[in-house]
Amino acid sequence: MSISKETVEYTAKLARLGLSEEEKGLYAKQLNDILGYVDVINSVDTKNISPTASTRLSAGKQKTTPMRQDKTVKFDGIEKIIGNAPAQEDNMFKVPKIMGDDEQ
Amino acid sequence: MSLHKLTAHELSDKLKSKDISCVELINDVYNRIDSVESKIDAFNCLTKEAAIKKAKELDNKGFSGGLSGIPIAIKDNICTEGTKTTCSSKILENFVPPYNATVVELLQSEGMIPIGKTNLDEFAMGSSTENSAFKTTKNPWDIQRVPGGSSGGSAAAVAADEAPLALGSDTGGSIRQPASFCGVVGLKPTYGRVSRYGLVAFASSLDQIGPLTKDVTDAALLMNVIAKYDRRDSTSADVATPDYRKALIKDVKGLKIAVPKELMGEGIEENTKKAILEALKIYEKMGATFKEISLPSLKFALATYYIIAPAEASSNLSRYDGVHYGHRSDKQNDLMDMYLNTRKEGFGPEVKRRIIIGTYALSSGYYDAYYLKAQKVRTLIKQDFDNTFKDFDVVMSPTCPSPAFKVGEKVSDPLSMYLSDIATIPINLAGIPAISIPCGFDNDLPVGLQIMGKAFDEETLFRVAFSYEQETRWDKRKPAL
Amino acid sequence: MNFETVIGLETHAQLQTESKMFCSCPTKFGNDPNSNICPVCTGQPGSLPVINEKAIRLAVKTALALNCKINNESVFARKNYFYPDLPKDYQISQFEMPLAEHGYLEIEVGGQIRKIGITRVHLEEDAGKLVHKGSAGIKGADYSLVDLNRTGTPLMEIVSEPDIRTPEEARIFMEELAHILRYLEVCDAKLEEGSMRCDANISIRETGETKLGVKTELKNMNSFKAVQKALEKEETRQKEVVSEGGKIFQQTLLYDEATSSVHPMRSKEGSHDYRYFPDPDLLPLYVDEKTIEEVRSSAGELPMDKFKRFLSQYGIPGQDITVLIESRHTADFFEETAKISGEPKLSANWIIGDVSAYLNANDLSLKDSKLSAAALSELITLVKNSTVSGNSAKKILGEMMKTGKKAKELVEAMGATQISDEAALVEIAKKVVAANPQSVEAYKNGKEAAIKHLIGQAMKETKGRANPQVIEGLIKKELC
Repeated sequence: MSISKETVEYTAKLARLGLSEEEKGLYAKQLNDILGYVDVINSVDTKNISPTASTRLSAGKQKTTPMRQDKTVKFDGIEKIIGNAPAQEDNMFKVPKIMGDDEQ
Repeated sequence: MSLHKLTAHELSDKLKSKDISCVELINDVYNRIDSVESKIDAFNCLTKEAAIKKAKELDNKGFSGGLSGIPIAIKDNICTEGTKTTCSSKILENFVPPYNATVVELLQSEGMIPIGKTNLDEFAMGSSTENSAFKTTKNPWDIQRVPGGSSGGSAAAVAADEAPLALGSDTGGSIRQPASFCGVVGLKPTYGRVSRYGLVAFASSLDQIGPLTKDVTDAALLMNVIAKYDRRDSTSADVATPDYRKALIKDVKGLKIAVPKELMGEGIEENTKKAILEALKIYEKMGATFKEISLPSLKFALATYYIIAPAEASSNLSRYDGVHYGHRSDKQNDLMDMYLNTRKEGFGPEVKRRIIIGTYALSSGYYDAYYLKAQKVRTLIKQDFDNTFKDFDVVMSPTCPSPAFKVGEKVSDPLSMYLSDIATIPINLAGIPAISIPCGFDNDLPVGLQIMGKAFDEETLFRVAFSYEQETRWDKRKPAL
Repeated sequence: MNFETVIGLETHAQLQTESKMFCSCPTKFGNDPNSNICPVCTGQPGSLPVINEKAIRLAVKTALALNCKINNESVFARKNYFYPDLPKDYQISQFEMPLAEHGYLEIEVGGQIRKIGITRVHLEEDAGKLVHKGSAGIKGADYSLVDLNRTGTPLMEIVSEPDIRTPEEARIFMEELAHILRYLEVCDAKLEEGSMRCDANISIRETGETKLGVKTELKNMNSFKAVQKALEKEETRQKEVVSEGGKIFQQTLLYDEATSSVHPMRSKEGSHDYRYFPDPDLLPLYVDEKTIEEVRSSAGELPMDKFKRFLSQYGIPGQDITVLIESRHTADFFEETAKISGEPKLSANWIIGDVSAYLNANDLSLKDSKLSAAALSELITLVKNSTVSGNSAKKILGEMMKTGKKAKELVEAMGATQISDEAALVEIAKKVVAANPQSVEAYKNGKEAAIKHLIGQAMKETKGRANPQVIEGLIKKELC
């Protein structure tokens, strides 16, 4: 498996990660190294093996899901949450225009 | 009096007998920080004013037992209300959480005194603290060398006597590897033992908060404070927490130790191997037996980890997008622009690298080959450990393949950096607990012994680690600073 | 060329819980933006989700009503995409292993029962709300503001099989689904207010063809009528395109209610790659058989079954039953009234007629009114045994519903008791006959209807209290 600069570009865009041309080249190389290394797992026979998403499953053995009662609690620090906004207006989080000029 | 040299349990005895006051203690700790911090760079921020205020309050109230009055350093990826929590990232450089992590609440109700937030590799991704956006912490045993990571700030602070104990987090070895490099004790508890609520997530299925301390007793005492079922964390285990202090018994007669050859062979430096073998002989002398075994799946642990951890991280780190908190780029002509530039400016190279790996591993067409496959291999790794614990009480290995490496040595070669976690990573994948304790020195650099146990059986780890510590007292050796 | 239309519907319903899906913030909020938010629903670093048990029960209840198989183990996954109304930049949803699958909903179209397959029912969290500034919509806006009050509200997604064949069927399906959701008290199901939302997939194919054609997705239908209208427009468009030798392209279209037309939605990104994976912050969702049975028994009888039972048990017309079973409360109210009064038909008439009229006029629901089944039964009995006239009863009902007073009490207080005593009415009869010679003349000349006027006058004299049969007899006697 080999990763091209274009794949890095596409992947970075999916992750909303701006990269310089230099970074794209560097990451393409490093990703190839890393993926080359991790590809060894494809040599492991995992027929009839179920995936482990969390070790809590087999650890507890109980087939129950922790849940909360449908009770409301008001958080008393809302102003701290809003206060952390990089930009705000009327108690709302302000973001630049969603549609770019090329999409208008 | 040089209070800062003492362990937390020794300090607790002094507070109890009123030999010292909390204010005296806290002042001594900050004096020590003043004198060595410029060499070590362990802290991202100090909360001296609040700590002194708290110490005064505690002095007025009187000693309330346990670790009440003991100063503690907190890794800077654990949310502290009103105190910046940066994850050593530019993207959270000025972030002040609106709430406290569960462990912070537990420390507070115990009456412990947070003294500051410690440096780490950005978002806990790394093994040296060189990936911090702010500073590189130095190893107190040799300031040319890294303290390990990602909890390098916490480990160095404890080793340099800047804090009697500290909290770290461990996703692939981030408590145990720096503990090993800095010659302190570090425990990664069983996944689900300590609440993750308020721990800024790196890889949610692997992350766990744990103690970094000067000796095994302190680790047990700190676990008594932080190990508690938490309804706010759905992955927290609703199991009773024992009094870990009761596990501190010097007795390993009949203990069966497994030593996986995969963690004692290629890639492990000779002197490290020698230190581990000597430790095993000491256990033998104390009445334990050990046997070399093979855990074939361990060969794939690192590869498995470098799919699962970045995949989860890529999703966990999406929220740093400049909308609700944290850094936002000035270049924000439109939303897409704002996203791309905010994350470009806010994240360092290692974080970007892992976001790209993780995004790639989850993207359509690759999910089955990478993520799903890795989860299946993870099952095999877990099964290997489960089977081992049918015949053995604990598994032992070196914590790291070598002692602390030099600053800058591995920074340009991510893969070789990843390889330094080869012995610690399988434990997170299996969800079991493991402790690293000092077991000797290689050219004046500490070597760590890793002891792994059954899920939710931290008590055995404490007993086994305590027995060795009592026999060897490596913990009494201090770096010359 | 003859075409067959193939439609599948995806419905999102906000569940009627007190608190959000994964945190304890209230789901009901006023107009103040960001007044119901917390570290969890705003995606603060380190915060973690915990499942709302009620949401699971409501979804199980719905899935059972839709004849689905409940999966004892299902998985919450992360759907990753960046948008400012989604603070974590992923939505917790269900993907590969949903809560329930393989169900169906029966609907009645033109007297025929149609069985529409339900592919899946799953749970997820709602996103926040965006306010665009400098323009009416997102297009041309200078900037936007994010309100996270709605973020994290439990949403249930119900996906139908592509079994629907006409836009009308689609509308009926949505109406029936909304009815079930309201009846189960799972969702208030208001398309206009967004508590229920619908996306439709539509394609056409030549009659007899078994492969599916290329589909388009329709969004922004804010009423049941709009669902049908939008699909009709798109069906016509697709048929025209294909008839003229053109091709259908997969795309998302927005329905514009004002102009009753559909327009392609501008797509932000060429392709979506949501990178679903199991949310490591949540364990799999286990729903055991005991829970399923508990929910099943609490859900009670379903509307379709109730319809069939009412038809055979009470013998009332189908269209009346439809109204009675609109909500579970109304259905129960009817059955209780029928039981106490022993008069199912009269009970149904009262509830559908005057009771409903009063509720509508006062913008009330039956639940909120002060009328009890026992009270209504008493009134029905008073009319039946001629203690009050129908006209008086209507007035009394209004008072009852306003004040909660009992029928008998009101009848006495208002002096509305019907006069059936001949001795008391004979003088009235005499007076009316004497005062209306023209009507008397007409009646005597064979105009039977003229007596109606005389009875009316008598009723006027007694303020409506005279028993109509008694007064008619007395007047006739006078005329002889």
